[in-house]
Amino acid sequence: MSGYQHLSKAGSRFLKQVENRPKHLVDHFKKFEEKSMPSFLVPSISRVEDSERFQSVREWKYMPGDRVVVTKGRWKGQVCVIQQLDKETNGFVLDENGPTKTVPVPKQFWSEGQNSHMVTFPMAVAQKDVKLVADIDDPKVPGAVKTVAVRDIVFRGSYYDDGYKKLMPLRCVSGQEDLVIPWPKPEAKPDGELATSGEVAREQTFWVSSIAQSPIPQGALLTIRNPKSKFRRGTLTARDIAKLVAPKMPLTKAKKAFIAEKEELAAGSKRKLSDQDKELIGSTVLEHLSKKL
Amino acid sequence: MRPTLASLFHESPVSLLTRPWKKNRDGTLFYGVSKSGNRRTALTTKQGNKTLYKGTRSSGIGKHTRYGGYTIHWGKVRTFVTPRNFNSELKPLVTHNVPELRHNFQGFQKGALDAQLYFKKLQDYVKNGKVQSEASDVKCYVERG
Amino acid sequence: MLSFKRGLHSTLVVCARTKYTKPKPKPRSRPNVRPPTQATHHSNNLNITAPIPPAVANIVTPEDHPLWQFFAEKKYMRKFDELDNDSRAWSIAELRRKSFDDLHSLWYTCLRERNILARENHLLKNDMGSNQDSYEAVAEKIRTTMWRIRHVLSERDWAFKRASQEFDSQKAQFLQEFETDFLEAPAAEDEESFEKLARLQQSVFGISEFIDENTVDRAFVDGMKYVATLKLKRFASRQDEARDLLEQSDHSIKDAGEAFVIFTAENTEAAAKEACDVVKELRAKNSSVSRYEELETVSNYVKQLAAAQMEKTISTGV
Repeated sequence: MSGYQHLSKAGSRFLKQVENRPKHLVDHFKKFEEKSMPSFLVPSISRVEDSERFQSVREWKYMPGDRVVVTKGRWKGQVCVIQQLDKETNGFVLDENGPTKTVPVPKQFWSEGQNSHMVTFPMAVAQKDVKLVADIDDPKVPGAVKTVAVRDIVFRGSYYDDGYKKLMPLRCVSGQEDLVIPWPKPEAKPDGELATSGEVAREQTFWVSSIAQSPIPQGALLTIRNPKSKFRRGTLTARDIAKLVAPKMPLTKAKKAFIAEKEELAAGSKRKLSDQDKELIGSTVLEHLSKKL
Repeated sequence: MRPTLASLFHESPVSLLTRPWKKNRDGTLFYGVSKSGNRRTALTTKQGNKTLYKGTRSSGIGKHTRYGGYTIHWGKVRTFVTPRNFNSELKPLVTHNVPELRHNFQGFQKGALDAQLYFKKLQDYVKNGKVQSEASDVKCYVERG
Repeated sequence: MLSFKRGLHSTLVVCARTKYTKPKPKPRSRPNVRPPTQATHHSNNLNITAPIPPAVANIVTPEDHPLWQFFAEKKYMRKFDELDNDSRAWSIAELRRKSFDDLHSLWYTCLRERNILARENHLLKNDMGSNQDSYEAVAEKIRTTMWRIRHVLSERDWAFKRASQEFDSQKAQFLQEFETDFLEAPAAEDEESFEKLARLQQSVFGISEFIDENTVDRAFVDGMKYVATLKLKRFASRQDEARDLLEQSDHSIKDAGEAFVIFTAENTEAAAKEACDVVKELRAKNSSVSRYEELETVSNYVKQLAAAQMEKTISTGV
């Protein structure tokens, strides 16, 4: 690695080839990676490809602050709270009740106040190994709540959530869709360093105020759009179209006569079979058949 | 009995180190990985034949005079226009504590480019002047565009 | 004087300066001699100081050094947790509500922040050999803001172009709607109504409220006539002069001179009456502006008025 990869694309095609591992070798590489990496860097569940990473809350299903129960492994049956989402593995990092591992850490990675080589890390849990835990009204004892684990959830509709500051889907229990489990309230965080405050961001300073004068200076327009771009197609004028379209050939006499005849026929009233006509047809057919048979 | 492989004759550390089968043209020893080198680097100004002019995209802003001087044609010089009234309150990002505003253009077929929408906005402006719209409230998350 | 004896290879000998040739005259003494701009050691004022050891402590960087713009809070590098990872890019809808100056400022702010991030990212990748993308992730969000600014400006321009193409067919209706609103408003709301009229003349005809900012063209003259007619119509219900004038002139002012008088009058009943009297005088004198000389005449009027206003402000100011 040259250290200039972020500036130049030189050799990127070659690197892409290297990254495209053959499918039958993926497991082999993974095993090798696990072996060669120090144990404190190896994730408990396998990393996912960038394209397979969860993007939306619909994919994640559970959010930090949700209570879940672990359904598999040594920690089966433990009820924990989700601390954070592990984006690299599509897993959930749980609180101290959840699965942990104790691994040695070399001294250069020690954090402040650490005095032992052995450190306990929380392990990420895959989505399929946890179930959501919720408090619902007990149908047997009115007024009391009972804690249940939800087998699965489905999303129905959406509403504006003031905590997440966006439209969130309604989380319903699969099979009993009138039971809505609310999303946990996210942790409040102060504004960041580069963040414009809400009032300033939302202050309106532009109004459509003229049809006589352009709303932006002409000099600025050149830096926004290239008027001579090769991708900018011209518009065809009437003259151009006249040049490009072949003229209509005049009709021959026979064709004209044919069209006139057709029109005449179309203009005339449609003939209907009267009962007399039907009678006539019937009798003719009968006559013919009686002669033949 | 199989014959000994030819490569096994070079087993001594010195012979391995010198690697006499890999030498540069001039006879000096080669320790690199590939002799062919990297052919994928960018062309520099010093390469190419005498007609190659690569430039630095920085010249061509004027004319050479007859006596070795240079007159700059200011129309060709790159200029950066800075804003007239710099608003330093605006930062590059927006706080996560405010919903992302969305516009809807219901009833206007061409969306933001609709002429009827433009006339409507103009009419409102003539009627009311510069009045803050609904989305100036921080809690608003969808507004007519 | 040299005497030239032309001969083979004799020129050089003849031209050579010898003790017999006359010396060149001394140059005339110059009265204004420019003093040397740079003091050199030839002037014998060179001070020898103790050698300055090359140490970091000896390098003083001024606080306002322009290159500080490439550093965040004068730090060599920000740590990952000091970065702003929560904030989001500006949305297009939010940018649509910002004026050109605001968008222009925001663009420069973004550019400066991206400079800082690019420098830090380069140090991280090149110097430390890391493959973390934390700086790039923030820079990418800022880049999103930047393309959205360009998008919004482009969109604004297209919307304007399309609307102005379609406005020719819609103009009559647009003005008609305004007129009914304007004339229906009660007399008590005069001030607000005339503010609306000022906005209309600015937005449809491009006529600025400040007379000296205007350039006189066809749109200006047409707008002036329209505004003058509207003004008369507004006062017609209250004033006989205005009503008479309106009826005489077939419910629209067609003459540019008359329109100018009414247009520049104050928006009060008294001023309107005065303007009506002036117009009547003009009509009595039978002086009217020909349609072919309108632009020239009106631009002269505007210049005169602007000059008069200037004089007035200067005299009151002093």
